[in-house]
Amino acid sequence: MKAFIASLAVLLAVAAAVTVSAVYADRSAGELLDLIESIPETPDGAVNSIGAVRKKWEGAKGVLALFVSRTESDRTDAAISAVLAAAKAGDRGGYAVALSALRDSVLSLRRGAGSPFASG
Amino acid sequence: MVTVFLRTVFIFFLLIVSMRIMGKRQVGELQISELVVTFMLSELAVLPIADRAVPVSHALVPILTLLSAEVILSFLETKSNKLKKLLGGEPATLIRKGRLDAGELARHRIELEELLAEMRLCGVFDIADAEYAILEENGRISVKPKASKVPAPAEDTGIAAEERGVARALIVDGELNEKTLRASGFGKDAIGDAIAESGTVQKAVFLMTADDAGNYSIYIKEEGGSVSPFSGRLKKGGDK
Repeated sequence: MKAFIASLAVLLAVAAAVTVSAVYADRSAGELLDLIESIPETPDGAVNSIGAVRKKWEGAKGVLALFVSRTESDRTDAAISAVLAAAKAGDRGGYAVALSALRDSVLSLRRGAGSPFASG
Repeated sequence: MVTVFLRTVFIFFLLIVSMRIMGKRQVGELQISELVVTFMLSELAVLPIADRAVPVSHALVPILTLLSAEVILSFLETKSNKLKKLLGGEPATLIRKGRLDAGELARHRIELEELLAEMRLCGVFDIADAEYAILEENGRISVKPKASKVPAPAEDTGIAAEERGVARALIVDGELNEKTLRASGFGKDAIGDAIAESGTVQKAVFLMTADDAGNYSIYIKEEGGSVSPFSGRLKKGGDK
């Protein structure tokens, strides 16, 4: 009976931890996506907006790294750096591609760590 | 590399605790659900060790979930016969009242040779000597020999049988085990006398066992790796 109660407690704790982590990942990815949507479509004046995305990502990365593979988080790191580099260089073509890759990587993060029932 | 080391240590202890919680059954005695969980645990545990990109949580969450589910399911099986039959199956009678059930053999995909081998392991060397053979839920076969083939118990034959208790290993590879010696109730003098009687010395004793009644066996190491036995009876009393 003791083992049963302990197992039930562990199962509930795991379920709670998974739910909390999924909610956190959903919320963080959602906020990141909102920030990414606010980045201008052209590199002109986009550096500050990208800086805000990077700041948000750096804040969430530590916790998200517990639930997502390093490949995923590295991909987001690289995507942010690529957008920033393209914005600074004024490379319109590269900027559009990098911005799209950043959006995809955050969506992928959300799919990997977030709730399967979440939209987006 | 430090990460791999730490992950390995963590997963190792997690698995040890998991298997300990699951119980002491041997691999051959695992129920279906336990077998499935064991296979899955071994696969899951390797993931974060082999691939550093995979977070430990990707192993931790499924391992804890499987472990809890297994214990909960086992508990529920003890409360519900229907669930137990559904998940673990039922024992199948392969030989009933001396008659072999070929249908049951086929249904459980057991070859005749396999049945005969399992019967031999149970001490029944002729299928004609078996009254019952039952395929248990854990896949083992238990065999009941015919009454005419079972040695009669001493009480039925009127022979006075001595209760000999458990034979304990007193000396292993020349080393006297003080703990089992104390448990046996015999003294070192009695052990020394027995060794002297066998014509050897303690260092040369490969194994010495003695039961509660004092019946001992000494296995003496000889050149070439062979071991020769010597038996006798320990004297009670003396030092303890």
